[in-house]
Amino acid sequence: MGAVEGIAYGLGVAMAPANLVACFVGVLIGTIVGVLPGIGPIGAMALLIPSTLALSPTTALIMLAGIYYGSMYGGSTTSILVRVPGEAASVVTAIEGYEMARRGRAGAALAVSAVGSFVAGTLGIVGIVLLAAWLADQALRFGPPEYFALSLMGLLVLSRLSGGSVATSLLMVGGGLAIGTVGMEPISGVSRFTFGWLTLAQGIDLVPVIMGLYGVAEVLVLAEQGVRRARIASVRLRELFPTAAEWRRSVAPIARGSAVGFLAGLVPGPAAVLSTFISYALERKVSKTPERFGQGAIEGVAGPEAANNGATAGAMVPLLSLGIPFAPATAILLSALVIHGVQPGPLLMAQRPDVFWGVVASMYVGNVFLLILNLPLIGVFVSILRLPQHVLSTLVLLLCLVGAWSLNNSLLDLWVLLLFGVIGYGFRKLALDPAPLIVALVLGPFMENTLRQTLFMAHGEWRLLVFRPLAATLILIGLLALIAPPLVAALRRRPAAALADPR
Amino acid sequence: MGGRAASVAALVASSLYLWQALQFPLGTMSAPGAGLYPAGVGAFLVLASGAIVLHGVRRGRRRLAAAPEATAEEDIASAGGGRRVVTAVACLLGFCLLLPWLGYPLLAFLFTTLLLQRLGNGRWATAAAGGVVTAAVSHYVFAVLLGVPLPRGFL
Repeated sequence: MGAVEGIAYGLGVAMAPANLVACFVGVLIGTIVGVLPGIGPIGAMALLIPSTLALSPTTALIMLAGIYYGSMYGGSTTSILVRVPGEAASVVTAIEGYEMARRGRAGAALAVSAVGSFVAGTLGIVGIVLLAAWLADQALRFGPPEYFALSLMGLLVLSRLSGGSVATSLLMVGGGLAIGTVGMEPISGVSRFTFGWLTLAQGIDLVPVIMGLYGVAEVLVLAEQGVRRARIASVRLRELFPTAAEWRRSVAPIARGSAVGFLAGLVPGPAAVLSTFISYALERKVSKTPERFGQGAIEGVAGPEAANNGATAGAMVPLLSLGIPFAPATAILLSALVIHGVQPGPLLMAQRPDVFWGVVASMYVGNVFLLILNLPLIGVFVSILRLPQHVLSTLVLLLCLVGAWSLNNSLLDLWVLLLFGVIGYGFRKLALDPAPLIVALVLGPFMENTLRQTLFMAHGEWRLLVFRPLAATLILIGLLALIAPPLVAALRRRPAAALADPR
Repeated sequence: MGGRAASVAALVASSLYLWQALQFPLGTMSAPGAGLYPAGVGAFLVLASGAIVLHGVRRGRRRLAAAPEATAEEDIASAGGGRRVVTAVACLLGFCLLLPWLGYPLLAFLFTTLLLQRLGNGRWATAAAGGVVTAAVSHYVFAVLLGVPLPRGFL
């Protein structure tokens, strides 16, 4: 199926009544969690996976993906009006957006942000169609060594790009891989790390781990901070129209932000967050009046807001074409695919075109919904911030508990939720990013499997990984990403030190 | 201080994981056993956590030489927050322990009431009303509409 036929077929799938409702519910929930500080899209997606069990795989994926990209729209609202980023990818928007709000241009900032997000989302879908189809075709030639190397490269690059030191990120990766080994080993049937507890033989499910790390931990942090009331700037509908000059200044940043975001989304790591910082720095650099930045420059809203939406589209490429997630949000989507009995990977497009093209086309439909939702109904979403924090926290904790239970009707999932909630709270106190742990937990069993297959294929010769050009290149990229920055920094320091000490 | 304790705990946990992994059959490189991959992961964990501990020790020495440790004012300031965190964790712990015996409807009411009151510092009657509504609505949505088999306990 070609790209045009695929999109036409996908639009047919996405416009089915059940899928339209799922898409609307997804982007609505996404906007709400984007607006609410503390409860991010990852926690919300994990929370809602159990409620999608009764849906078809396509409908479930459409809803969960809607939460993912919908949250990017919602996050900008609170950044601009309250200077409280609803989620991390909107931190940069808070700088210029809030300054614009203080000068009475909140409406313009919101409108440019929504339109920029829409344009980036639309261009991102074109990127997915072009790139994912090509990549899936190439990936059919991948063998176990290439898949192992690709996963390893993803984890190494992720370790470099995640927050905190590389050593702590690598420890997180190791932790995720270790958790993935708990349970019955599928080939020999040996129970590993179960300590005689039969229930543990089924392994540790990803969803309660994510709910704990992102949902429970966030609530514990909010509980510690106590009750905070936000001061919300009001916006009237007629203020939502940027001036001609503001539009003119926004067009190029939106285009650049879309491209930067999409490319960042292809790379393992916190793409949505990183892309906003890259886009902001880029806009400042190319601006003829960089001194306006920090004082309400609309380019600083348009570029980053387009970038974070472009990144969500880019992040879908490795998931849909290779079946490999490089970020926690796409790891949840992969988990949802598996729960619904859909085999992810390069054959997804051929075997389940309804899932592949349906989800891609639904992203366009969802972007239209978001544009309609986010401009006229901005006041409604902002009023959600008036919901008392302790009520929200209590409801989230109860939803986490019921959600974890409903996965397997097992107490083990509740204990996992509690344990990872406390661990996640510790991570927050130590400023550690749990993303590498989540991605490693998803990729761990896959990596073990592909490594075993590689060793079988090569009769124990691990050098097969080095002699296959693509596998070797991928591993090299991962290693370079890990060691090149400190090496370059050390080399730069050396001449400086020699100059300072001429002996 | 918290960071250093956490890194030492990570090193201990990594070492225990590696030791446990080595108890499983390792097999050979051409026919890997159940323990080969975990052993590799364990060695990686020990190396990473060891590097963090070493880095912490070095940094600690430099900091000691440069300036005295900061006071614990921040910890005292967040004492109220700490109490709320302990309450929330205790409620979660209680939920996990008591679910099979008390069942979902009663436990959801107790859980919600307690949390609403303790986190919001409001009146018990208001919190209890919120607890009744939340327990009833969530039970209806999950158990009746979505068919989730929530434990009913002794009721």
